[in-house]
Amino acid sequence: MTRHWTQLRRSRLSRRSLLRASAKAGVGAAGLALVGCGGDDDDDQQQAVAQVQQEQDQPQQQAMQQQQQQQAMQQQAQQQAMQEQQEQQAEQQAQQVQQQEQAQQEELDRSTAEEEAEVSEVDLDAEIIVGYGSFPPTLDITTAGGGGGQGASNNLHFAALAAYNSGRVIQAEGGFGDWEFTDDLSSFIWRIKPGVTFHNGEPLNAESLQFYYERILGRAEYNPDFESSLRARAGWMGDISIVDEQTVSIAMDTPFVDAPEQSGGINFGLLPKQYIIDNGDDHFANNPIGCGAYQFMSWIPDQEIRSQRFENFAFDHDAPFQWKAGWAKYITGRYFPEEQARAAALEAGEVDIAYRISPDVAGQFEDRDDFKVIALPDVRVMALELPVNQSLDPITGEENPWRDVRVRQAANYAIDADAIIENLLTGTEERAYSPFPAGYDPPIGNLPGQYNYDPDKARALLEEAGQVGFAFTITLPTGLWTADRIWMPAVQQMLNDVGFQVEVDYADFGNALSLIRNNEVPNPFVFNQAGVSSGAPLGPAFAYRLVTTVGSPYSHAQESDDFLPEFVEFQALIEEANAEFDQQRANDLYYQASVISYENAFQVPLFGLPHLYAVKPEILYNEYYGTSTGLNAIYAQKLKT
Amino acid sequence: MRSELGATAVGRLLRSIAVVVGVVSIVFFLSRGAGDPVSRLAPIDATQQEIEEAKERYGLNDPLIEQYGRFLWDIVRLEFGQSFRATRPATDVVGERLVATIQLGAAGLFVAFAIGIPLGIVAAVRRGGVTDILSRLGALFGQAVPNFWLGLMLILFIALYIDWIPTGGRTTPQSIILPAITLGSFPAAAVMRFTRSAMLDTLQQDYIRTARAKGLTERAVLFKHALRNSMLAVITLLGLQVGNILSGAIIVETVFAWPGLGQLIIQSIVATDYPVVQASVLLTSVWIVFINLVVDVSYTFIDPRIRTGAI
Repeated sequence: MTRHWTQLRRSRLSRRSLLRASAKAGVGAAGLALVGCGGDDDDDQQQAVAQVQQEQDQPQQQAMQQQQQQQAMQQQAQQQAMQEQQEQQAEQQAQQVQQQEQAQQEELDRSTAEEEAEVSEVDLDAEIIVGYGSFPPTLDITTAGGGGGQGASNNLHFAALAAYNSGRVIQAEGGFGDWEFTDDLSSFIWRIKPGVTFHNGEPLNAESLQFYYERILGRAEYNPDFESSLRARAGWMGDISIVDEQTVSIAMDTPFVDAPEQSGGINFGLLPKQYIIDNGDDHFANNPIGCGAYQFMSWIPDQEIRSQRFENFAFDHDAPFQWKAGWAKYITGRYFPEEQARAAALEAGEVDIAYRISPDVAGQFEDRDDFKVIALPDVRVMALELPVNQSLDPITGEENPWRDVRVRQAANYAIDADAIIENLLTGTEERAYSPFPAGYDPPIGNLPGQYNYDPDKARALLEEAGQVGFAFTITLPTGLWTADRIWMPAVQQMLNDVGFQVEVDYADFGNALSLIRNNEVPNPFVFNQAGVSSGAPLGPAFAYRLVTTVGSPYSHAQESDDFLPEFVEFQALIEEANAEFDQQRANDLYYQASVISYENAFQVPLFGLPHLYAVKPEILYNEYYGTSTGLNAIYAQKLKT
Repeated sequence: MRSELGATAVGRLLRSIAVVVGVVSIVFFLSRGAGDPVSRLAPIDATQQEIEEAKERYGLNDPLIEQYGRFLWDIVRLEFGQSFRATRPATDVVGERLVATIQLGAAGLFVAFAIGIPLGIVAAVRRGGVTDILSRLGALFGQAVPNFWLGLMLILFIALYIDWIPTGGRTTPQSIILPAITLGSFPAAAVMRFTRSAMLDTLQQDYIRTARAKGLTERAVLFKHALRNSMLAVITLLGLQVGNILSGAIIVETVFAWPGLGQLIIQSIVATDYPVVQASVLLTSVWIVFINLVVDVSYTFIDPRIRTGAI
C-alpha cells in the first residue's frame, strides 16, 4: 500500500512539474510566434531584401515605420495580455493539481496513520466477523471454480507456492517455494522450503506437491475420476517427477512462460496428500486443510464459516510479500446475500465488516463516528470494447463505422468519466486512460488531454467522419459491477449528446458473459479488464489475456476478421510479450502495445470501480496490493477497546 | 364404497404423478433456455479449453432430447447428477436445506393460522364492529405488502432495536422470529378472510340457530358447531398455503439469510445449476401435490358427509 501511494505521489509531483513547465513553454512558444525570432539563414535573406527596398523608398517607409511601430506596440500589448492569460491558466491548473495532491496526501496520511497502529493496540485474541454477500458452495479450492467465496474461505485456508509483490508480479523467491526453468526450457522446477506444514501437521514436500498436481490432472491413483476446475490451467504439465525430498520437476512439451502462475499462482492453493487419501474428496470439500494463514474450524453451508489463526504459519505479519500471518485470532464469515440485510447486520453489531456494498449503502455509513467506509481500488478497469476488425457492420451490413479511428476517438472524447465519478459514483473511483488502472508505470495512464472530455471535438470528429447519427447498441452485463445501472445511462446520454444514437442492452450477467464468449455479441460491450498496478503487466489476470486480442475469451477479434493494420501490429506485440520469458522485455512489449491501443482508440476506457466496505471504527485494514481483488480478512486488525 | 374410494385415490395419485412429471419437464426445457451454466460458473479468466471440458463433463454438448431422456431416467432413479456449483450430488445439496425450510415453513404456517383463525372468528362474530374493520384492514395490508419489503422493515425497525432478535441467519432459536412473521403475514391475511367468511356462512345456518335454541353456551356454539363446520374451507386453504409458503420462502430466506431450499433455488437459478434446480423443483412439486392429496383425504375425516357419500 505504501509503495503504491508513494508511486502515486511521485507520479503526481512529476505531473505538476510537467504541467507548469509545459504551460511556461506554451507561453514562450506563443510569444516567439508573435514577435518572430531571427537567427537562421532565411531570416537573414529577408532582412537584406528589406534593407534594399528601404533605401529605394525612404519617405514612404518612414510613414510605414510609424505604422509598423504602432502595430508592433499593439502586438506587444496583445502578446502581454495573452502571456498573462496563459500564465493565469497555468497557475490555475497548477493550483488544481496542488489541491488534488493535497486531498490525496490527506488520504495518504489517513492511510498511513492506520498503517502505523501499534501492534500493542491490536487485539490478537479478537474475532472478526465478516458479513459476505456470496458464499462458497464447496471449500475445496481445486473444485471451487468461479463459485464464489474467495474471501470467506480460499484466501484464509489456502496458500500457494509462489509469492507476489504488491504490484502482482510473481516472484521467483519469497513464497513457500522457489522456481526456475531449466536452461533448455524443457522442465520447470519447484523447490519447496523445508519445514512448511499443513494445518494438520502434514509436511509440504515433493511427494505432496506431486500428488497435488496429479490429483488436479486426474492422474492420482486414489481417485482418477476426480474433476478439478484447475485441470485446464495445469494442462501444460507433462511428467511430474520428484527430484529430491523438497524438489519437483515438471516436464514441458513446449516452453510455457506462465508455468509459475499456472502451478504456484493464487489459484493453486496447496492441499495435503495423506489427509485427502484417508478421508476422501467429499470429506475434504466440507473439512478443508491447507497451509494458509487460518485453519478451518466449521462450516454451515450458506450460513457461517469459522476459522482460527494458524499459529505455525510459515510467515509473520511483516513478511515481505503477500503471505502474512493473520491478526485476529478468529475470523467468522457469515452469509447475508441481501445487501441491506448485510448493512443492517453491521448496524446491529452482528458483524464487524459489511463486505462489498454499493455506493448507495456506503452512503449510509459515511460521515458517521460509529462506522467508516473503506474503498479499495479494483484491479479491473471498466471499458467499452469496440468491434474494430469487422469490415461490415453486423447490424446494417454496411461499412463498419468503428473502423474509422475518428469515430472511435469521438466516443472517447464524448464521455465525461470524471463527472460520472464525481456526481454518480463515490468520487473514489479512478479515471482510466488505458486497460491499466491508475498507478500503472510506465505512465500510459497519465497521458492527460489526449482523450479528456471534449464534446465539441467529439462532435467535430464524428462530423468529419460522416457518422453523425451512427446508431449502435451497447451490451452491459448487469448484476456484478457496482452501480452499473447508475453510470451506464450517463455514458449513453453523453454519447448521444455528441451525435451517436445509442441503445443499451442491460443483459443478465451470466447470459451476457456466455454470449460474449461465444462471439454472439457483435456490438460494443462493456467489460472490466483485469489490469495490474505498479508497472507489472505480468499479473495473474492481465488485461490482454482477457480482452481485445485475437482468441481472448471476451474479445471481438477473431481469426477470420479483417484486421486493421494497427491492430496487426498490436496483436504481434502482445503475442510476442505473452511468449517472452524475460519479464522486463515482456513489460516493454506490453507497453508498446498499449500505446498503439491507446492512440488508435481500440477501446473506450472509463474508470476503475472500487470495492466498498463498511466497517466498525475499531477495524483497521491495510491492503497489501496496489489494486485489490477484494478485502482480505487476513490483513484486517481489530483494535483493543 | 371402499373400492370407489380406492379408485378415486389411485386416480388422484396418477394425476399427481402426471403433474409432477409435467412440472419438472417444463423446468428442464426452461432452464436449458436460460443460458450456458459453464460460462456462468467458470472463473472470469477461464480458458476456452476449460469451458469446453466442463461442458463435456456435464453432458451439456449432447443433443437436448438425449439430455431429456437421461433426465427422466435419472428422476426414476432419484439421481439428479452432480451440482455444478457444489460438485456434489444435487440430492445431497438439496437434502441439506430441507430441514431449514421445513422449520421456517412450519413456523410461517403457525404464524398464519395462529393469527388468521382467531382474527377471522372474532371478525365474523363481531361483524361490522371495530375489530372486524381492523382485522380486514390488517388482512388488506398483509396481502398488499410484498414480503421482501416487510422483511427489510422488520430488520430495520425491530432487529436493530431489540438486541436478542438477530437480523438474519439461523444461528439462534430467536433467528426464526422475523422470517416466520414475514413469511406468515401473507397467508395469515388469507386465512383470516377465509375463516371470517366461512364462519359468517356457518353462523347463519339453521343448525346454529337450533344449537342456540337448545340453550348451548355461545362458546360451545362457536367452537363445537360453527368452527368445526367452517374448517373445511380453511383446510382447503392450508393445501394452497403450503405452496405459497414455499414460494414465499424463496424471497424471505434470501432477505433473512436463512439457509433453506428457497435460497438454494435462487442461487441455483442464478448459476444455472440445472441439477439442483431440477431436484429442488421436483421435491417442492411432490411436496405440494402430496399435501393436496392429504388435504383431499382429510376432508373425509372432517366432513362425515363426504365419507358417507352424502355429497
